[in-house]
Amino acid sequence: MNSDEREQSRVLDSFIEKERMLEPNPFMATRILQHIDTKLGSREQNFAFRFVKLVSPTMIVLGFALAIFAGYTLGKPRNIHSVPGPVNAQAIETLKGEMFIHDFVDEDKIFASNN
Amino acid sequence: MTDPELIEGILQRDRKAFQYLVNKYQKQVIKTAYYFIGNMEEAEDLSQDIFMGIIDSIKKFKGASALSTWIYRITVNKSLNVVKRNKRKDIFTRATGKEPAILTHTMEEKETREIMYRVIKSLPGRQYTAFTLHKFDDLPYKEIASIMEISLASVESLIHRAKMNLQKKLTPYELR
Repeated sequence: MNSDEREQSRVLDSFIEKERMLEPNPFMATRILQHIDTKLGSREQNFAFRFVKLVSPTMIVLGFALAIFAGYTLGKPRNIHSVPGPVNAQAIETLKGEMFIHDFVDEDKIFASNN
Repeated sequence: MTDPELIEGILQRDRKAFQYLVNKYQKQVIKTAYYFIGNMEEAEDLSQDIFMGIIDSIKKFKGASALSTWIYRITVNKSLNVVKRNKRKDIFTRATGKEPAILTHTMEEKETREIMYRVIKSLPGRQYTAFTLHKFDDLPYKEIASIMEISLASVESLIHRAKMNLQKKLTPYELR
């Protein structure tokens, strides 16, 4: 190593030594923690915002689908079947007595016998 | 707080764990970033992203190396990204003819500092990383090998070549 190289090496070492003595801002920890809080907080907010953004249209679509289904169900023509109840002979006789009816007229039979 | 407790705390998003992490490693992170970038303000700004990166990727830490080594690795990678970005910016400013204001000509010490950083940064990537970690951070070869994920022999070779290259690169300058 010649004298120039030795000098270079000395300058380099002294430069490195000076750089190593530099200290960062003592309040950096507060700044870093603040940054972490802000980032994590904004991420949570973003998540909530994205959730609301996703849920709102879904709810609207579901609402429409439900309304259409309800409208279709309510408007659908229904088959109304009359279910004949069991004929109670005793009840008929009572009714006939109360209403002074001697006998029921079978209109079909009368119509058939007349023709 | 032990490292496993710290890791668990970070995973649980515990603010006390964040505080402990920042208090314990801020000096290491900021100083290493500064040695790579050569600008304290930028290093301090970057340290915020580095800590955020540590918190975000802590689940990827498998414990194969010490936590401090892993933090060094993140710091080095993020700092090198900034150095690359700054180099691109420099190329752009030179191409557009907008030279950055040089304030160091009047002050010998600042000028020396600027030359030193320029010369060190001009070293090939891995030599630059190994040299900076060894000379500035004062890390042993073994830890540098672990940070850079290379063999001990490679670290020795990189640092030796870095020193040779630096001598060559510093020859044109009359440094005092």
